[in-house]
Amino acid sequence: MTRMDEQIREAARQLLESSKVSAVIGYELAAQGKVRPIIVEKTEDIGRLVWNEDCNLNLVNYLHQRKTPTGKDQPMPKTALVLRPCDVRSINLLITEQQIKRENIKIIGLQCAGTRINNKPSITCSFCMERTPVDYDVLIESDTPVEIPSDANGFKDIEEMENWTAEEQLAFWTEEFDRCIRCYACRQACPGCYCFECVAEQVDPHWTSIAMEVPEKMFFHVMRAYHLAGRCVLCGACEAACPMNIPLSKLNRKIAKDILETFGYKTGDDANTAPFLACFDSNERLKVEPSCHF
Amino acid sequence: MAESFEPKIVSFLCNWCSYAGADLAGTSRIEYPQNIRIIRVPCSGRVDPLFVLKAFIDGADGVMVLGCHPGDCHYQQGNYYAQRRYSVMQKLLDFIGVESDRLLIDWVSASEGKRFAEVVSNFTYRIKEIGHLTIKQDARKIDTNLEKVTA
Amino acid sequence: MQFINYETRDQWILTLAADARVVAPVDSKEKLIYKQIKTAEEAVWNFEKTNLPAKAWYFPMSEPILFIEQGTQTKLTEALAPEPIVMFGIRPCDARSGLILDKLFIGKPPIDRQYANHRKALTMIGLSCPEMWETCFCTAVGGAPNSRDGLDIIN
Repeated sequence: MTRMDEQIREAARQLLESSKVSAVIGYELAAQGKVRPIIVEKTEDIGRLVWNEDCNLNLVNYLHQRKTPTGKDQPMPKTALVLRPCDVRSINLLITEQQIKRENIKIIGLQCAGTRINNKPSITCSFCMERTPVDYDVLIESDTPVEIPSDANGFKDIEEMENWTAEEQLAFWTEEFDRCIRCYACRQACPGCYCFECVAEQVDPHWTSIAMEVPEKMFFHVMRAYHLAGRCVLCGACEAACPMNIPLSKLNRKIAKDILETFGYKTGDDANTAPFLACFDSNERLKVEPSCHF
Repeated sequence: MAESFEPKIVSFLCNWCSYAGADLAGTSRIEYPQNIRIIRVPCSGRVDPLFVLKAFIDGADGVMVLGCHPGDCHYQQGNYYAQRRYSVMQKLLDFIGVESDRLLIDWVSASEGKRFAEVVSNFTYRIKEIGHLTIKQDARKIDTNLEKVTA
Repeated sequence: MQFINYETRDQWILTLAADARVVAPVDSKEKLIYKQIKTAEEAVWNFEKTNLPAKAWYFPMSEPILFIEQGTQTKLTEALAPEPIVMFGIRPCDARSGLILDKLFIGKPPIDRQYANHRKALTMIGLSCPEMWETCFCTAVGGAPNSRDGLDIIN
């Protein structure tokens, strides 16, 4: 048991025993040295909580199943979650979108040095520029150093890819999406994807077929990335969940980079900013200038 | 190669400005290339970027979204929303191999018939230069064992 | 029983690839997937299990079956039977699962013509297992690491 495990369990114990929350969502050890999420509701289960570098999912996803149906004026049962800095931004996102209320959440925030996917550092984490959550009720400090070099560039790989030719980019994504099996694990792992009926599965209107061809698969992923524009917190849960090693976060990070550069907006800074695509500034004049000028 | 290539261009025109501008170009007998297929929408704000994505994936070589000038939207704000959405979508498409030149967002008012024709002409020539977009392959090429059988 | 050495096998694959589609496990971003190869070097020959089964090559998740062209005359073009495929590196458990699908689609009339064509075009060359791995259970359902069920040749 590491010091972080101890502190997480202590925080969980205090929150559960004082009835400040009715459940703590964290991780426990599973078979074959892996970890899996756990919802702890009884104090005797607190000893199962752990945290290590393999904890690469976004636990805010589990809040959707705890929301009470709309129309009933019942608050969500109070929940505590063990969250990385990126995950905490999802909380702010969901508050902005009126899905949850801050008073029903307790954040056990972690200082994070990065998580792994299949024993390798995740791409998203290797470019992360944030080590401490923007919001927390309890802060668990990291065992490993969390310094970010001052010249670190959170979007270096994206910038490189932007300079490729269109043929190279299309060839890259065609090869990646060829492996996609439309399992929708990426969508299910994402706290930002909570539509009752996903556009990808609608038959009326029939946006996209489920044919296992690259154009259809590309449509799904580009569409999903666009629907997360200004909403994705770059937690990398989609990449962690993908069984076929597709670098999905590149699409989301590309959008996040553009939005940050053009508008100075980063998802989840606080719970008060309006959703990005739901507002505008009437003085904005934004166009990507085509290379031929009219 | 460029001479025989006739691009397929999908144009989303807003009812109150750009579509009326296209109408004016027509009544004034101003000629412009016939590659565009026009879809009339009430407002450029109605054009879901997924329409644009679907157009490219289903075989369009170029897409135009023409709306009212900022400040002149018939529904007050629609074109501002469109502006924001497309600033994101255009760059995202550029990242997956659909060059940003293939998507044109512009403002054409109802009185600008001549300008409409110019915008369409310039865009069509540009798409002819860039060439065919190869996301969607002819379904026949997927299975190479096809022979024609008369119905 | 006949034996060939690796060089002969590699040469055999080159010859086969001229007339048929040769498919074997290929490393794609560290996932093993059955893909078409032209030479033996493109494939991985030393592995536990592939990440996706061989099924997609005889029972694709989606495929064209009919093309309809509308114009002054409506033209219908049917997808013809697939080119022969030779698949290498099939685990006995994977091959046995094909037999279960066979029961469903071509076991009794009316048979599924498309599926039958796919199966007729397919030759499966197996790769027997040197050991049982952590998630294996073929013996629990009547299989074996060296079972020949569903395979044309076993390696």
